[in-house]
Amino acid sequence: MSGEIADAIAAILRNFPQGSADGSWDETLGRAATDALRDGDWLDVSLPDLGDLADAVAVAAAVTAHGWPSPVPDLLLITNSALAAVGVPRSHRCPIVVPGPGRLDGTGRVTAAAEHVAWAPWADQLLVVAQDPRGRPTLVAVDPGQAELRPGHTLHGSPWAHVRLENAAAEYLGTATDDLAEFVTTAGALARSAQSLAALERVRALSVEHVRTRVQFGRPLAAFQAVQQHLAALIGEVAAAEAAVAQALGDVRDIRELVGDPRLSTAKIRTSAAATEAARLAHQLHGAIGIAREHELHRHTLALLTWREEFGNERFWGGRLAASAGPDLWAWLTG
Amino acid sequence: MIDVRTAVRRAAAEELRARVRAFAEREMASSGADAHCDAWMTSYSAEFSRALGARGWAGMTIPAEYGGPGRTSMERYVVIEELLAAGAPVALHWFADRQVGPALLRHGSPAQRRRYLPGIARGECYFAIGMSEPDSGSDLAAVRTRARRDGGGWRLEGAKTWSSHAHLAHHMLVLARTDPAEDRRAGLSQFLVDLRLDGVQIRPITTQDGRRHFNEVVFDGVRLDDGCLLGTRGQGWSQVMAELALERSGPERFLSTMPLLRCLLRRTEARPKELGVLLAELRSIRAMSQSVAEALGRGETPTVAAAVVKDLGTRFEGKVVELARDLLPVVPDLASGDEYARLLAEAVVHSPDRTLRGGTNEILRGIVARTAAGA
Ligand SMILES: Cc1cc2nc3c(=O)[nH]c(=O)nc-3n(C[C@H](O)[C@H](O)[C@H](O)COP(=O)(O)OP(=O)(O)OC[C@H]3O[C@@H](n4cnc5c(N)ncnc54)[C@H](O)[C@@H]3O)c2cc1C
Repeated sequence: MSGEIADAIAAILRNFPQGSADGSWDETLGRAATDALRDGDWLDVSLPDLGDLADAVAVAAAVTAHGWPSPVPDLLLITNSALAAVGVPRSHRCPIVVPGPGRLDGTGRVTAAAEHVAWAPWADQLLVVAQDPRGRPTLVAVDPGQAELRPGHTLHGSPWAHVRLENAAAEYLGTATDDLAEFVTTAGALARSAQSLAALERVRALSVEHVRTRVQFGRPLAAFQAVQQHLAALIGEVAAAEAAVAQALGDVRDIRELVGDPRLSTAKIRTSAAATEAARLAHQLHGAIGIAREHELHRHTLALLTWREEFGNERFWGGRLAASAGPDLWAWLTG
Repeated sequence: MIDVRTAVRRAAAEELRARVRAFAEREMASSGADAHCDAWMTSYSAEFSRALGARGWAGMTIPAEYGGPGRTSMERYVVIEELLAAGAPVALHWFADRQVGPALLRHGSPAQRRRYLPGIARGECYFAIGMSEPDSGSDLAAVRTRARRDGGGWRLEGAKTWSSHAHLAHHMLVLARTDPAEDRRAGLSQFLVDLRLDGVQIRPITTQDGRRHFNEVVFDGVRLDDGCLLGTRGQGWSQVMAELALERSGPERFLSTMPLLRCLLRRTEARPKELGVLLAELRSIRAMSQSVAEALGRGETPTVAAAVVKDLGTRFEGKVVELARDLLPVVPDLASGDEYARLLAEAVVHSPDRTLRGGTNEILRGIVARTAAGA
């Protein structure tokens, strides 16, 4: 299934190139590509009745593998999941979740602040995680015009904004039974893990291709043992990341199953650690050409290095994973 | 027991260090120049370079007869260490100061020295380094750029790539093939090429951070006069190896992320064991680097020791980034007004460069291992 999904997405994105003349990402073209995917109904695969989590992850991965920034993984895995958690359908084109935490007062006004909210500058609706006056986790919708957005870009050029809401008029969407903020963190960590894996696989492919074709000292780089060792270490990192994401997804059908689960921590920690090592090794293997803008490599490596920090880095999840292990380690591992 | 002369020299060095430190702080504050990671490659200011020259802190080992201050290489070491730790904008004159000045002192004719050295000592004459080509990176002896004898001079044909700041430099030190040879290392020569000459084309190569750092420099039958050949025809390889020993051994090979590490320690009071281990590494690399500098000062060419320092030093620079992420995690942001987030972003973005530029760590390790094993 994931192969077919990848092919279908590739076919669409081929028609929507996103690179500008100077080799950077053209945000306007990026919007067109996103629209094309939306028009193809690819943003709906994670809605409960239309597809399952594995499909959504496959779409997120396929879009990510193209190397240009895209809100599609967030829309599929974070936005759609948050809406599903409160049982409402997606009504806007680009609703972006603001993890808050916000406060909802008795008159339906919300106050919240969040830093580095990915894709907030593209939002046509902000979905704010807030506590209602009775302390219940609630999702409300706010018009972005009501928010103070301070925009910026990640290292790989994708937009984010610091978001502030001060007594903003909010539309009540629903109340969740569980901790919504925690749920969003989980969904976000899963999204970044899946995206990191997609980028890592592309980094591996580019590196293999490069060492086969680049000749120095009369031989392809792949003939040098030092190069072989690096390539093997890189392949090992990607394989470990693959295993970590696979054990997290397993037969999970709903992201809620992963909240507080060591499988999710494992995926985020291991993909982030692999990002560090694989980016280092791949650049080393590529030499100077890997940092030239015209080359594809850094689109993936800069994304990888950025995603380590989003929705909890290795340290954050490492603390949680360690804390989840009781005195009986073997029971924890095999449980 | 320290003898009196050593004590006097040390006191003088400390006094010099204090003056450079105060100067960099004052100058950067007054010109609004931020501290940057990898500043020696990425951050530049003509005024700053000139101000250094005016104080005798550029081309420091150039003797008075060529307009230089005639200081020792250890004094130069103190100065550049301070500038690197400050993340000061020194990229413009860096290559001229580090390797071209010394190369001219070693191999240059009196006329060449008179022509270039005074400008280098003023911090006003900038050089680019023309070694790498599209098909010649690690395999430097594979250069295809050719210089043919032409009347009383030379004709230069070929293309260099990854030329840092060639678009800002006045000249380039070019490695070219002058004579066919069985042994690829023979038949190479070095040329001092004015980048404003007819037939020189400088094309930008944008880097991943969207900046213009590199260039492709094309020589389309560029006519050079006889005075452009540096040193001896056919001796380019050994000249370049001596130059690379200078290029590889300096404190810029372990201080590129020092501005980040300094900022980190200002920002957090956390002093975990990992930091201690890293600081031990810093102190030992610095001691090694200083002893390499001393050997260079004595006129030796400590190729292996320089390679060891660069391998350890560039890996240390990377460890700083990982420790910073661990101790004080923030979202790295090149455009941030927050100094720490910006320095972290710079350090992350330039991570790939450090173990590549000036010769990759694999090539350096090859030198170390082959020499040790006598292979
Ligand atoms: C930031 C930056 C600035 C630079 N500025 C300049 C400049 O101003 N002037 C200039 O001339 N050059 C410059 N360079 C180029 C630099 O010298 C080269 O990048 C470097 O020599 C490596 O060459 P390459 O990039 O072609 O990589 P390659 O030589 O293609 O190497 C790719 C990989 O293969 C490995 N490899 C190659 N051969 C072997 C072998 N025999 N055994 C084991 N491993 C091997 C390398 O170690 C590396 O990991 C700069 C580079 C960078 C990154």
